[in-house]
Amino acid sequence: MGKDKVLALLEAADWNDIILKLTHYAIWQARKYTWNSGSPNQLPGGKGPEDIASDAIKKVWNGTRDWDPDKYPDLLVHLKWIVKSDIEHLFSSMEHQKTGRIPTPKGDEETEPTYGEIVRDPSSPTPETTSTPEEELIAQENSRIEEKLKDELYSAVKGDENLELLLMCFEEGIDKAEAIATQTGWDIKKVYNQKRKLLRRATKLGKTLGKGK
Amino acid sequence: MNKNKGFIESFCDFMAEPEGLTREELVAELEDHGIDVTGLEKRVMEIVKEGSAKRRLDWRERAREKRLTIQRFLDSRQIVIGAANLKNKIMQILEGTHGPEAASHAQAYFRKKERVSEKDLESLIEDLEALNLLEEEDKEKD
Repeated sequence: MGKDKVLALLEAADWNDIILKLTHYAIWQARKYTWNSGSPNQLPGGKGPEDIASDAIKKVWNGTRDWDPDKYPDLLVHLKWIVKSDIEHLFSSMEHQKTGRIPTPKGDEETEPTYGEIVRDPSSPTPETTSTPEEELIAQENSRIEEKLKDELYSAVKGDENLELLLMCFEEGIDKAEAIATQTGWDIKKVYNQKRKLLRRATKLGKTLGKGK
Repeated sequence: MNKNKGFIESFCDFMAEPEGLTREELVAELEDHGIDVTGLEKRVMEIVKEGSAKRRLDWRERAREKRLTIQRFLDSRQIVIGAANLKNKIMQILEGTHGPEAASHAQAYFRKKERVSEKDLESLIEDLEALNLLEEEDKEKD
């Protein structure tokens, strides 16, 4: 597709809608990790999820992360990929700095996070290789934190069979709306309704999620 | 299903997808996180405005370079005297609203022609006009 056509598509996009959805996405991607700030809203380099989202948009416009509509017709999907990748990068670069395995990247346009800002990644599996006593302690702590988060979530949905069933899907690694609909026998609208309900409950949990304390 | 995913990762990935959530719900959630939604939307519109202006400038620059290339090409080929006014017409079309697409087409058209006849130029004008029509239709669809 010609560059002028890509420009026309970018100019026609609903950016007010995109930034809301993308920031929502960044909030929840950041919540996968525990950050030393104690909050997924305060990421390394003084950034918040809204900064990660608007940086992703900037990267598409300035060509750092070019969008190819022929390959990825949905612009939001492309932007989400950038956000996810940037948050992972933010986390993993810190993790590497912490363990000293990879030198601090130079010349990145992002403000590089400082040493020790990340505490743990709840999604990362326990390392199978020989680990140091310090790593063992961190793994144990991570496991404890994840269990605590799960307990809090289950408590928040207690008595609501639908939400409990939804959480059980997550236990099985089922997290796509269509797959959940298939697994539970619900129609897709019901899955979205449960998501809304879960969003309200999770909000009530406050900033516990991702805080890990 | 991804059995390698942990509970928290699956939960967050499910919640991260905005599908099924209304604008009001998204705004409420962002505000709950202390985000100034109006300010954020304004910031993004600035990014879009700046990015668009920069890209349009680049686009015009590319168009100008291509026009110069074609101008040089036409000047370097033998053109029958009667076709000179057609050559001028082509240059006028390329300097108009056609942009890089039309210029690319003209470049490709002349690439292997050592001698340009009146018929060649007429044919190119027809192609450019058809291309212009297509581009206009595309813009209307967008």
